[in-house]
Amino acid sequence: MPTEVLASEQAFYKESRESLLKDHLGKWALIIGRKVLGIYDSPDKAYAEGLRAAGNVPMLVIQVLPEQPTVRFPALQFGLVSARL
Amino acid sequence: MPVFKTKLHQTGQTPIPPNSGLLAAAGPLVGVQIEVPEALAKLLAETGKPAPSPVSGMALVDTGATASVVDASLVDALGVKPVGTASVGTAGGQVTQPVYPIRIQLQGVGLTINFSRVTGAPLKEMGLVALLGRDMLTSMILYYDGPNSEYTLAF
Repeated sequence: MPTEVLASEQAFYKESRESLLKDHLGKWALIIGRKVLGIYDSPDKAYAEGLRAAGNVPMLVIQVLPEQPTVRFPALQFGLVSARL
Repeated sequence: MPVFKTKLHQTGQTPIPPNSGLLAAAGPLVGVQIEVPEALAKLLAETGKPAPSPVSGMALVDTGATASVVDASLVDALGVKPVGTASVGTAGGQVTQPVYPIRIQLQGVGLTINFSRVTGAPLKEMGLVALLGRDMLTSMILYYDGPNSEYTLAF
């Protein structure tokens, strides 16, 4: 599963979050491996730079925030896209 | 303001009788084409590699979803690599799903949306390639006409 590929990047982000928050609150960090490749104003810019620097590889593009926003998908959460009544 | 208006059809019955419940049964479905994100298409072109063929299917406009979702196996087949993860609550507990950048074209409208982040999830078994959530609707007007089984997207 591709999500496991980013486990190291996620762990590194958690370790670095406090220092990133001090200088880059709200910006987008590009992390590959255990390295911050850059800080950008938008996720699109970060992704484009990641492609340019490392090619088409898994990369973590994450907004520097105290907590990541919650996304909700009731259809997936409850499996209610289809049901027989 | 471009308008996409669609009326659901019932085989062998024209016009659709009022209050047929077709839209309620099927939901606001739209034909879409899933493509690699613009930046990746550009990189592939620069390196002389062919871009994978887009994949067509049906998407459901889902006002209950805060963000859009695309079938993960389809995105993997396009060769798009993840840019993050999302923790998704399911009936079976929390699961971690990949997040991808992707481009979605609404068929019959000529509108292409570059999503910086969509969550990958198994949707194929539901007969869908995508759920179009409120991230897309942020810049649109959705008019849902249940009695006439039609809906309109204006953007």
